Amino acid sequence: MNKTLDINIANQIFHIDEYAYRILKKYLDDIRIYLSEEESCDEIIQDIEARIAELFIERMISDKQVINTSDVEEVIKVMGQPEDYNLSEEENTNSYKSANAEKKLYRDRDSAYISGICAGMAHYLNVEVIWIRVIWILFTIFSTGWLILVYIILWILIPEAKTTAEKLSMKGEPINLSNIEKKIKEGYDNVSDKLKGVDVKKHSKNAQNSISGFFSSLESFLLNFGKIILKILGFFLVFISGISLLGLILAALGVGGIGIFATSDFYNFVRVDGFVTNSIVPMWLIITTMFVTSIVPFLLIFIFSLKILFSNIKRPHMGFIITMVSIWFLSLATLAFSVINEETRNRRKGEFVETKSINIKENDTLFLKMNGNYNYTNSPYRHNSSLVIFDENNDKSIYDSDVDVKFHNTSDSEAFIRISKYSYDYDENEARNKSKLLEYKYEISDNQIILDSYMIAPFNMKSNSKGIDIDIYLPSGISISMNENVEDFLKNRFKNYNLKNAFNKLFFIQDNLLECKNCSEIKNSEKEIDETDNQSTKTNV
Amino acid sequence: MNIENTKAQMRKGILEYCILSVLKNNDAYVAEILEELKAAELIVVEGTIYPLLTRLKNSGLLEYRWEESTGGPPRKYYKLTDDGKTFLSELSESWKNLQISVKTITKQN
Repeated sequence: MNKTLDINIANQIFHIDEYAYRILKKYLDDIRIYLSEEESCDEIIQDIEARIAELFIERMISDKQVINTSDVEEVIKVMGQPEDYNLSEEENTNSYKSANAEKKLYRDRDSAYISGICAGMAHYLNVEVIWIRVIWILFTIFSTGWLILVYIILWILIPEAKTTAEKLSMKGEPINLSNIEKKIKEGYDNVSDKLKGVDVKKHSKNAQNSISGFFSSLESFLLNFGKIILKILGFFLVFISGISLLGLILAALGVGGIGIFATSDFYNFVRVDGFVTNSIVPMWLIITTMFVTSIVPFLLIFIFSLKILFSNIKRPHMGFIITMVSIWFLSLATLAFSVINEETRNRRKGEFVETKSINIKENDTLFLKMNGNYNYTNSPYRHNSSLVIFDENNDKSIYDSDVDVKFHNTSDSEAFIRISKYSYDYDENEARNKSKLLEYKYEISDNQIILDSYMIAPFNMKSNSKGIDIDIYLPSGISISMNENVEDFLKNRFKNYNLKNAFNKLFFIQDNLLECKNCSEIKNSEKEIDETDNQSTKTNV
Repeated sequence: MNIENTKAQMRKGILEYCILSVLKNNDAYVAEILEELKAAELIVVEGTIYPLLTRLKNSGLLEYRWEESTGGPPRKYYKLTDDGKTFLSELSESWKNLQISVKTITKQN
């Protein structure tokens, strides 16, 4: 039992079985390829179809209803193979156009290991396929595998060479009778070389013989030159946009992966704080829009430049482009919205200030110490970003070490300290109210100040800018001694720039600069240590 | 040199002459022309003739008219134009000369 189809040849209806139909279709397609050089190709095909219809009708006498494979084969025998249709191939090869067939990139399934991309590229670039494969494998190893992605994209975009015509144009051979013949008779390998030899001779002869020949060669030379420039441009565009694409994809897999799967606290660790809000726009959306906004232009450039480079790559569907562009605008708008929203959240500063007097006598030394909190972090030094911390009830808060300390001179007789908690928000009032919520502890006794090196903020302030400013005002004649981590928070500059470490040294404040009081002794003692070190190493040698 | 190619080249020139000759005295449609050419063993497969006919028509040597046929698609009846007639007479003249030349040379060798 066979399925039959109804076909219309020269306005006659025939029932034809499926397999016979396929043979007939292929036959007519092939003829069309061979006759494609003819100026009235369509008319000739119509005549041929009319004749085929007549031949079918002749065979349909008696009770026969369906055209089967043997009928089609008989008709093809009468009509002749596609090659027989074209007697004029000598004439055609004289014209530059058909002799200089444009090479196209296809996947070569016939000599494929995986998809035939390497083999296809080898034909296109005219090198041995083994080199292409070696390069692919090496680069895949060096790239730790991401080239596999490129391979898959190429697999999707580059069509496979299916018909004989496509196979010929994959190898850059003109599609004409003699090629087909040679291909069949002489086999696969040396055809291309021979043909090239023949063509070159003909071209040079042409150019010598006639001026028109010369101009046509010149024209095609210029055309080819333009094409080459375009291809080089295409190559660079493909290269650059391809690398950018991969970078973005990797970045998205890295950052985006954390952003989507981790909790929204993650920004504290990747330093996008101040940008991502805890309010209107959710984290994952911002990451997605950042990704989309940056990747879409590169994707379009990549596809179009690939199209420039390999002319037979499928042109992307118009709908696809429109969708891409709309998605791009949408995500750009979302991104712009969240940036503006973010900006307004950090617009106005508000502070909450306390001042305390310090009970210190003239010529005394003020000891300044800064405490860390070892429950939350292992170091009392300054952290570059805030941390999310959990209390006993598992409630989240923000640990932030944005504490700035500055010494000032004062003409007053009494020393005092000013502690300012500040934050930023939509308006000043809101900002001041939030500042009050910052938890910051300090202790002032006679000649000792103990400050926290951190503040604890409520979790909903994670995206607001915030901090503590400490200003210490000292009358003249008071020395300062600081413990080792204070330098991290200190905003004063030192008078002596060569100072390595403020720890264990005595300072006094002059014109807002810290000047060392006992450094010469320390320096000397350091020198001595250096020298003894040197001596000991010498004796070791 | 490919023998098939050379044969095809020789046949091609003659084929145009023969098609015009078939149409010299009466109009004919493709199947009739084919019949005569096949009988004279000038062509083996029918496909060859279609591009030739169209080319002759395009260069103004032939023209055609449609005629209905019983139980088949309408047929193209080809006819020599005035140009075609002059062309044909010139061709027969040079064919005669060619024959003589070829005979002379092949006899000598």
